[in-house]
Amino acid sequence: MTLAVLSVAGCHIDVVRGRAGNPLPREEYAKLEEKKTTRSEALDRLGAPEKVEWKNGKDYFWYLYRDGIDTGLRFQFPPFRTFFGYQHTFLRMDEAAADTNAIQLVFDENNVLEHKSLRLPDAYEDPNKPAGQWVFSFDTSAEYSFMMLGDGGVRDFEDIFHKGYRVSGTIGFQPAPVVTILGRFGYERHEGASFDAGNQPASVSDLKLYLFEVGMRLTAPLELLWEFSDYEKVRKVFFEDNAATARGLRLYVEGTTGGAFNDEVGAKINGVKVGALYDRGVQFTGSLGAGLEYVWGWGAAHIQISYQTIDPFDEGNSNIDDDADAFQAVLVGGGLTLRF
Amino acid sequence: MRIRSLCGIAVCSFVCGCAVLGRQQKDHRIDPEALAKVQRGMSKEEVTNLLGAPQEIIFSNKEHDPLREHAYIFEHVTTVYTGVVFLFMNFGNSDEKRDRVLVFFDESGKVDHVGSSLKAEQASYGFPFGR
Repeated sequence: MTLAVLSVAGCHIDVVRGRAGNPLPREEYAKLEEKKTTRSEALDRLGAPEKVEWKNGKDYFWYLYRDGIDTGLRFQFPPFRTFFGYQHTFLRMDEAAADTNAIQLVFDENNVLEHKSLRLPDAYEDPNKPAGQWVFSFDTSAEYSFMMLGDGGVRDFEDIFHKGYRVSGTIGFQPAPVVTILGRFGYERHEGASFDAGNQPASVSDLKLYLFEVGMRLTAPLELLWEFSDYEKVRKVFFEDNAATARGLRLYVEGTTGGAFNDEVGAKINGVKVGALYDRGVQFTGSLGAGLEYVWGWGAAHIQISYQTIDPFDEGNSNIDDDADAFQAVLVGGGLTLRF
Repeated sequence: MRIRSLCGIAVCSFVCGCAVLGRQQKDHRIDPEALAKVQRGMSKEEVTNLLGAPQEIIFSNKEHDPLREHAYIFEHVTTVYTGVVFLFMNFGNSDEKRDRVLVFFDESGKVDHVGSSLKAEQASYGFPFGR
């Protein structure tokens, strides 16, 4: 719901990163010896410098690696691009950091290293540090639908069906520690109930749904909630952490959308079949969820709460009022994840 | 219905979007085979015949011969851009890598030594996260 409100308010989050050059080879720098290493040896070890000056017979070399991050929050109106194109930004907050790592070498007139210096700000990354790895995952979940919302036609959905369950399998692709692309398939079932339909006893068969959805999950360590004002911490989580080595308790929010195939829901009045309340069909679906997961390496366990909405089911051929609104449900559950 | 609409917008904001990929190259690429042929003792003419005209010349700045050419710099820059645009969340990433060659000349104008870094091909697309 918070996400929905943020979207409607025209909130836009920008994360832009720019890098130039290669991370500096710290070990090679350490091997350079003043009064001993020659210019050609230094060039062989470090390659060509980004900047060169020659003054009074001395060579000045600079090896540079720049890493800049610009994060911003914009509030615009209208929230989404329109035919007219113009969006007015009425508030923008930016936080930018640009760090430059530098090695400076000075060679004397005999081409021997006279002086060396190294500057490694916080953005320094060890070139030998393993690059961030992509993670694939397979997740199984079981959820209990404890609340149903919406008008099912003849009665509200919560009167027509019993509380149900959903089981699902999700294939995840995690290109970065905070982002997972999701592909989900699931089965959901709500047992049919008995109810009064115009002073006549009625009952329906079970609601069976086959779900196929894609979406995205944003994940961050739980402690980020109270350390959000610590920019260095946020930057580390977003830009330096490795998805493959992320561990511990993590908070996530996710959104998925796709389709649901529903079986025909048969109806009976006074125990006699009167046709279908809802015809079989495929409807548009959407889900929002939030949860906690504990990651321990090759696996993870999670609990979550989610909100699900499915477009109105196709009307059946019975004479019962079957002009339904969207089917909505709130589910709680948990599951296990395999990571590889 | 209103709740459903809001939820629909939020879901779309997660999953709708587009990706933008861009590539920018500045100056011609440095041929590694030609670079390997540059040897100590070569003249400036031989060097430029192999690598082409330099982008920059470092002059001696010395009092007695301020315009003596001390070094030639050859450079090729590749920058790749990645943009992932969602309805309310945008990620951008640029990675700039260079091929850079420095050819130093001695006082007689012959190649003294060569320093090179051929990294332009390592520029890569990606999210702004991680290394």
